[in-house]
Amino acid sequence: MSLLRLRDLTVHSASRELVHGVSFDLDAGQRLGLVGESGSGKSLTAMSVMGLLPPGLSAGGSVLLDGQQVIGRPDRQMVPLRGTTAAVIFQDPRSALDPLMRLGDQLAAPIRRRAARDGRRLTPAALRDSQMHWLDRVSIRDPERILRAWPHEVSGGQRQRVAIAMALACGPRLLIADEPTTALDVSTQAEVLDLLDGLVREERLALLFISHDLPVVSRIADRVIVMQNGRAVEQGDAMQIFTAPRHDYTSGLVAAAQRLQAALEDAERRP
Amino acid sequence: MSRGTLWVGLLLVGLNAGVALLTLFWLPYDPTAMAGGRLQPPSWAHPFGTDRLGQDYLTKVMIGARIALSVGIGAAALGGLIGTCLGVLAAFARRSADDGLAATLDILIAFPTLLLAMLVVAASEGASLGTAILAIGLAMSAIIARLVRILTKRVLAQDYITAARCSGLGWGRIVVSHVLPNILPTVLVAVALQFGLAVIAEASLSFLGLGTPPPNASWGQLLQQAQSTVFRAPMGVIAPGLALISLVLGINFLADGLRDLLDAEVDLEEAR
Ligand SMILES: Nc1ncnc2c1ncn2[C@@H]1O[C@H](COP(=O)(O)OP(=O)(O)OP(=O)(O)O)[C@@H](O)[C@H]1O
Ligand SMILES: [Mg+2]
Repeated sequence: MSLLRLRDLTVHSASRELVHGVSFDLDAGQRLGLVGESGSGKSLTAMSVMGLLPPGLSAGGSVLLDGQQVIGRPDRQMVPLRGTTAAVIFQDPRSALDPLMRLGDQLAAPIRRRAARDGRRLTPAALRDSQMHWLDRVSIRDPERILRAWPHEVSGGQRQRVAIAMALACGPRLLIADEPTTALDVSTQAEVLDLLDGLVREERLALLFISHDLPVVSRIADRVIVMQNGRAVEQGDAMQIFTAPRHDYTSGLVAAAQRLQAALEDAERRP
Repeated sequence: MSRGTLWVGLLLVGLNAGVALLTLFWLPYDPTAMAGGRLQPPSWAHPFGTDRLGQDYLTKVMIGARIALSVGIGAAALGGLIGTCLGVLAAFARRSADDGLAATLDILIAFPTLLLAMLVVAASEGASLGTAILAIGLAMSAIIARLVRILTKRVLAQDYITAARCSGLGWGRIVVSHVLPNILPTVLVAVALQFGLAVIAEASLSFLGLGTPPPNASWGQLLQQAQSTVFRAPMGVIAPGLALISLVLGINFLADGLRDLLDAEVDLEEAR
């Protein structure tokens, strides 16, 4: 059975429908990309999976997460699934970390939770080992300093690495990454993408990767869904979507990406 | 400059607190005994003179500091605690319940503290330290609750709350580890400002005879008793008046300094 199965997911606000019937399956170890312009409904689709739509919005259709129906499930019963079955990394690590809590304490929360779930007693030494382990996994060079630092004291790339460590420390099987590199500069973006690529492979996670950047998505995902105005307009193999798009909207995205690529190369050739 | 305010505030509040603590162990004179002639001017034996019963006035003003601070601390603790709980609850309540609570708070805030105090006094066995604390604390809790409700809603809309929810924290844990720490600096400053207002409210209550009964007279009561003899014995008004001003000013300086220190953005409209 699929780890995640969406059937005809709809999201509506009081006045209108925002996501119109999205369906897909995601199995363990698979990587699915969700592309589309701003406002196309990517984040709403992702948050429906977690059962955490913004107040005032509601979902219809069916979302099976590890065989459990998410839609209509009381929040209290969603809590045990969050972080353990599926975890999320957000676009802006500055706002996704509590500004008044040291990074070490924020990383400790999922570690404690995992220990409690496994019924292990966590000694302070074991907690610290685990913190160091996860910071090492996300290639943070000076873990001692990072553990003691406040979020505003470290760089954007480091913050996002800590956020990734927090998401993975609870041992999820599905990782949802909602534009995880958009807020980073280009070179950090590539680093974090490589890191994520390696971690997802090593931890054998399923990945739902969201971006408005088609080249980025086709780099990390095997399969891509293109969204426009709350609809999945095209679905297919990552390479195929990039080289032989079937839908006009997708061709537009590809052409835009190629134009940008050409412009960048052009700029590089000039002194 | 802001550090300066903080220090002046600390000094003034510290002075009042020191005197209040001292009265627990030592007083210049027995506050109920006749210590000299009536309405005497200041002298070495009686630095603030005596009142119309011939009792030492410095002793009374010192006791007043204890009353003012007890009521201030009691009301701030009560109002801060009830207000924070109510505010957080309101922020979490369903739309209809939240609207109801918000309206109730607005009515409570519009309701004059003095009227509330009279109700509390009428409902209990006469005025005492407890009724003063209860009345002022209740009035304060409505103001704190309104502030906390808004602050909590603002924090709950932040991405890190969504992130924490995604990582599987329940609401209880989120309130304890993310909401409260983030609203605390602002709430502290607001409570400190309210503390100053509580001291004034207590003085007004006592002035109207709704405060603590003698011999533990508060500054408000001293002011009230001294007003008929203000020309013969001006010290009777000046001493408690200055004491009141020193404490309230000190608390406000302290709150201002604290705000700069904590960098908390208290909407003054909201805090009053
Ligand atoms: N809380 C909300 N209330 C009403 N409408 C909303 C709400 N959140 C999002 N929407 C609307 O739903 C649509 C899809 O939003 P969504 O956040 O899923 O877009 P997105 O594809 O993630 O875009 P972006 O790339 O900018 O993050 C948008 O038109 C947006 O205006
Ligand atoms: Mg989005």
